[in-house]
Amino acid sequence: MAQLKQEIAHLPRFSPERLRIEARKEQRKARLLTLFIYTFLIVASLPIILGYGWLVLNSFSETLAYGVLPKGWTIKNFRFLWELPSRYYPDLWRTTWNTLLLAVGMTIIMILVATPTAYVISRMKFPGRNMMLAMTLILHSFPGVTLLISLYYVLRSLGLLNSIVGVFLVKAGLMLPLGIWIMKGFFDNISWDVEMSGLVDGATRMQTLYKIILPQVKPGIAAMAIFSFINGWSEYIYVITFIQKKESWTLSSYVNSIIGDFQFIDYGLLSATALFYILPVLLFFIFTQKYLMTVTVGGTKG
Amino acid sequence: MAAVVLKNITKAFGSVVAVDNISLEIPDGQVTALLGPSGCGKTTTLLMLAGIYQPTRGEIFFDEVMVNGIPPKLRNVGLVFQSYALYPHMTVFENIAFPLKLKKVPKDEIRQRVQDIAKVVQIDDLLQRKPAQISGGQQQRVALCRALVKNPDLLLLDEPLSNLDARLRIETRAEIKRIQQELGITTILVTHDQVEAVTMADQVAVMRNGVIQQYSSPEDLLLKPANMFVASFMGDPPMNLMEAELSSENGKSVFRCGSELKIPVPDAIAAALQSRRDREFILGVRPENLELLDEPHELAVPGTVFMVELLGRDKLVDFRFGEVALRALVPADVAVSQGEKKWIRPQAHRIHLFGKADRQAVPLAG
Amino acid sequence: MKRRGYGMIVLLLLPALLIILAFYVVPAVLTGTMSLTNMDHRLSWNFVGLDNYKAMLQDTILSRVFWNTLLYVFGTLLCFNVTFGLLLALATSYIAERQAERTSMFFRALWLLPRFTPPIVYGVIWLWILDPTRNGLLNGILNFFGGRPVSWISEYPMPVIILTNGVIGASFGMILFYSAITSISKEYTWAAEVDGAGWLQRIRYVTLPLIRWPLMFVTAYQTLSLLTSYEYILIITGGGPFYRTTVWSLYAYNEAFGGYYASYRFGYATALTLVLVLISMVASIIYWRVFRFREMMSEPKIEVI
Repeated sequence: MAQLKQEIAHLPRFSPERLRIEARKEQRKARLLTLFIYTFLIVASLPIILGYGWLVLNSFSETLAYGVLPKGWTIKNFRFLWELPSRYYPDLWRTTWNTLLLAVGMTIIMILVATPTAYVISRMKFPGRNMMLAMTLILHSFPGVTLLISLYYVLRSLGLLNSIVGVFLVKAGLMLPLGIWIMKGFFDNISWDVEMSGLVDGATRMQTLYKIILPQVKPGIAAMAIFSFINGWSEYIYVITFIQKKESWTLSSYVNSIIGDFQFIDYGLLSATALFYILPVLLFFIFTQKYLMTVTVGGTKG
Repeated sequence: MAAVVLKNITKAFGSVVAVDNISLEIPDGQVTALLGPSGCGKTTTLLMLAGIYQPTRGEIFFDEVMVNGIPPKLRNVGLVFQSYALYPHMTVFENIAFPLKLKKVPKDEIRQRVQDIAKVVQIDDLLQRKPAQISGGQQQRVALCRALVKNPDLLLLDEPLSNLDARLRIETRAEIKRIQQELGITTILVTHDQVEAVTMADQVAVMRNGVIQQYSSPEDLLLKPANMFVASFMGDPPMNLMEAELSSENGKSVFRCGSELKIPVPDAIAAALQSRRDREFILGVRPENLELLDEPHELAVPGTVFMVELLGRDKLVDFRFGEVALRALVPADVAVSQGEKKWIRPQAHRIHLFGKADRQAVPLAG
Repeated sequence: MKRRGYGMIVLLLLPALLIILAFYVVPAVLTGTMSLTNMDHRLSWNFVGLDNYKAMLQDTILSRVFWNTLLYVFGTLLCFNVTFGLLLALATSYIAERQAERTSMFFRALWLLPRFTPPIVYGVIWLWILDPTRNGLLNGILNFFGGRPVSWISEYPMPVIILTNGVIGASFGMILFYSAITSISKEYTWAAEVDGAGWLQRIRYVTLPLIRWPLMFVTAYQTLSLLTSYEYILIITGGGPFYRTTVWSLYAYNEAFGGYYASYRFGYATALTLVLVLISMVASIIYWRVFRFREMMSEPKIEVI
C-alpha cells in the first residue's frame, strides 16, 4: 500500500494512470467488502440453517456422524404417526386435532371479533370510546406472566382447567387488545372520503363496510389471520401451565414430554415429532412471510 | 477544469432505456444545461457524470481521460441535489466540511477553506445552525458550498432552483451565475425549466425520451428549433402549431390550415420549398411573431378576435378558424377587443415548417 | 334511528368487551388482590397485608435473580436485539442495494423464521446444538477436531440463554432497521458517495445518525419485552443450573407453577410479577426521558423523506 502511494504520488492529480490505479484500489476494496458481507451473513446464519436442516435430515436418518452428517435413510422415526411412543402418550391425532382447534379458534376470533371492534373504534363515535382506547393501551403494558396466576384461578373457578376452551379463551383475552390495535391501524389508513362517497351514493353503512372497506383491509386481515393461526398453533406456556390431562394435550405438550422422557436417548423421535409439529407453520411461512413481516412489528416476543 | 465528452452513452435499467445513445461535448469553464420534461433522462445523465450510475454502453471523458468505472470519490465533482440532501444531523459547518474531513484534510485547513467558500456564497454567519433552522434559499447555498469546497473540476446541479419560490429563484439564478464566473468552473445544470436553462446556460441540450433533440445556444433553441418537440417545448406562451398543406389559389401559393384558414406563403419560403416533393407540413409561428394590422395586407390573414387575455406586460389575442386557433402576443397597450376584425401577418422569416412525417425542421432560406 | 345505531355498536363491541373483561381486566384486578394473600394450591383468600412484599426484601435468591435479569436483558439487548439486528439490517440492505434483492429477502426471511417457530421446536433445535454428548452439533464438531465434549448448558448457562433469545430477538431490530435504512432518501447516499465516503464512512456519518429514532425505539421497546420474556429460558435451561439463569419473570413463574423448586406460592408469585410491572414502568420513564421521545413526536421528519 505504501509503495503504491509513493508510486502515484508523483503523478498529476488527474492523470489517467493515477486514476486507473486508484480506481482499481477502490474496486478491490468494494469486492472485499462484498465478500466480507456475504461471509458474515452466511456464517451468522449457520446455526439457523444447520438447526432447521438437522430437524429435517435427522428425522429421516438412522444416525448422524459427528452430529451433522446423516447416515442411513429411514422413516422409522415417524412410527409415532401410527403407534404410541409409549403407553404414557395420548393419541397423536387427537393431540393434533386439539392443536388445530386452538389455532383455528384463534384465527376465527381474531377475524370475527377483532375486525368489527377495530372498525367501530376506528370509525364511529360513541360514549366510552376514548376510555376503551386507553384501556387497550394500559392492558398492553400488563405482561402475560403477571396475569398467568390469576388466570389459573379464573379457569379453575370456571371449571375450564385442562381444556382447550380454557386456553383458547385466555389467549383470546390476551391477544384481542393487540389485534384490535393493529386492525384499527389498518382501518385508520383508509381515507374517510372513500367511505363517505360510498355513503353519499346511497349505500348503507353495512354495504359500504362490505363492498368498500373490507376489500381494502383484506391484506391486513389476511396477515392477522395467518399470524393468529401460527400463534395459536405454536402456543407453549398456557398449554403446559393450564393443561395436564392428556386428552387435552396439544403438540407442544407432546414434544415437551418427549424431551423430558427420552433426553439423551431418541433424537430421531424428537426431531420427527418436532418436524411434524412445525410443518404447517413452515408451509405458511414460506408462502406468506412477506405478509408476516408487516405484523411482526406489532408482535411482542423478545 | 475539465471539458467533458460523452460518446454514444446508453443507460438501461433492466428493459427500460433511460438514456439512448447520446453524444455531447461540453466545453471547459462554461455552463451547459440539460433541459427536458421529467423522465427524459437528464438526471440519469447527470448521475452518470458523477459516477453514481455506470453507463450501459459508451464512454465518458473528463479532459480526454476516460472515467468509466471510476467511482464518484475519485472524479472530483461537486453535486447539488434537487432536495439539497443536507445531512440534517450536522451543522452547516459540518455539512460543508464533510468532503474535506473524509479526505483527511488537516483541521485548520478545513476551517479556513469552509470559511472562505462560505464567504463567497455569503452564508458565513450561518455556520453553526442546523439545516432545519435555515430557509430554503440558505439551504441551497449550503449545498452549493458543500459541492464547491473541495475545488471540484466539475460542478453538477440537479434542478437547483425548483424548490425555491419565484422571487428567490431569480435572485439565486444570478447568484449561481456570479459564483460560477468568479470560479470559472465547468458547470452542468439539469432542469425542466426553460427560463432557467436559457438564462443560466451558455449552451443547452434539450432531451426527450433519453435522446438529445437539439444542442445549441439558447438563442438558436428559440429561433431555429431543430424539430417540432423543441419548437413546442421552448417559448412561453407556446408556439402556434398546425397542420398545413401547400397548395395554390389564383396562381399564389397558400398554406391551407384546416378548412377555414389560408396563410399566404412568402416568396422566400415558396422558393425554398420548390425542390421538395412533400406538400404537407406542420407550420409553426410564435405568438410574438404575429403582427396585428388594421388594414388588409397581401401576406396577412383576416380574422375576428375570439378572446383577449391580459398577461401583465403583454396581451394574448386569440383567433379561431374552425378547429384551428392562432394566438398573437402584442404589447398590453395595443387596443384590441373581442369581436374586432384584424389582419394577422406572420413575420416571414419567423415561420417554421416541420415535415409532417418526421417532424424535423424543414430548412428555409435565411 | 339513533337508538338503532347505538344498538349495532354495542352488538359489535360486546363479544370483545366480554372476553377482555373476563380474561384480562378481572385477572388484572385479581392479581393485585392476590398479592396481598398467602394463597397456595388450595386457592383460599388469606389476607396477609404487605407480607409478600416484605418477604421479597429478605429473599436471598431474589437479589441473585435481579442481577441475572439485568445481565440477561442488557446482554441480549446490546449483543443481539440492537447490535446484531443492526448488523443484519446493514448487511441485507447492502446486498439489496446491489441488485441482489432476492438474496437479501432470503436472509431476512431466514432470520424471521425462529420467531414463528413453535417455542418448543425452537428449544428442541437448540437442545440438539448444545447437547452435552457427541450427538450434538457443537460437540460433534469439537469431536471431529479431537476435542472433548463440553456441557454447554451447565457450564455456560447465561451465554446460552442470551444467544438463544438473541437469535429470535435480532429479527425485530432487523426488520425495523432495514425498513428505516431503505427509506432513507437515495440522495443522501449519493451525496455521501460524491463527498468521498466509503460504505463504512457512509454508515457512520450518514446512515446511523439518520436512523437514530428507530435505534432508540428498538432499544426501549425490546428492553420491556425482554424483561417479561421467559418462555425460551424455561424450555432450554429451566432457570438452572441452580438459579443461574432464573430471571425475574421466570422466578415468578417457577414460584407458582415450577415443579422443581417451591410450588403454588401464588400470593408471593403475584407480588413478584407486580414488582416486575413496576420495574418496567420505571424503565419506560427513564427511556422516555433519556431518549427524549417527546422530541421524536414533535420534530419534523426530514430525515426520512
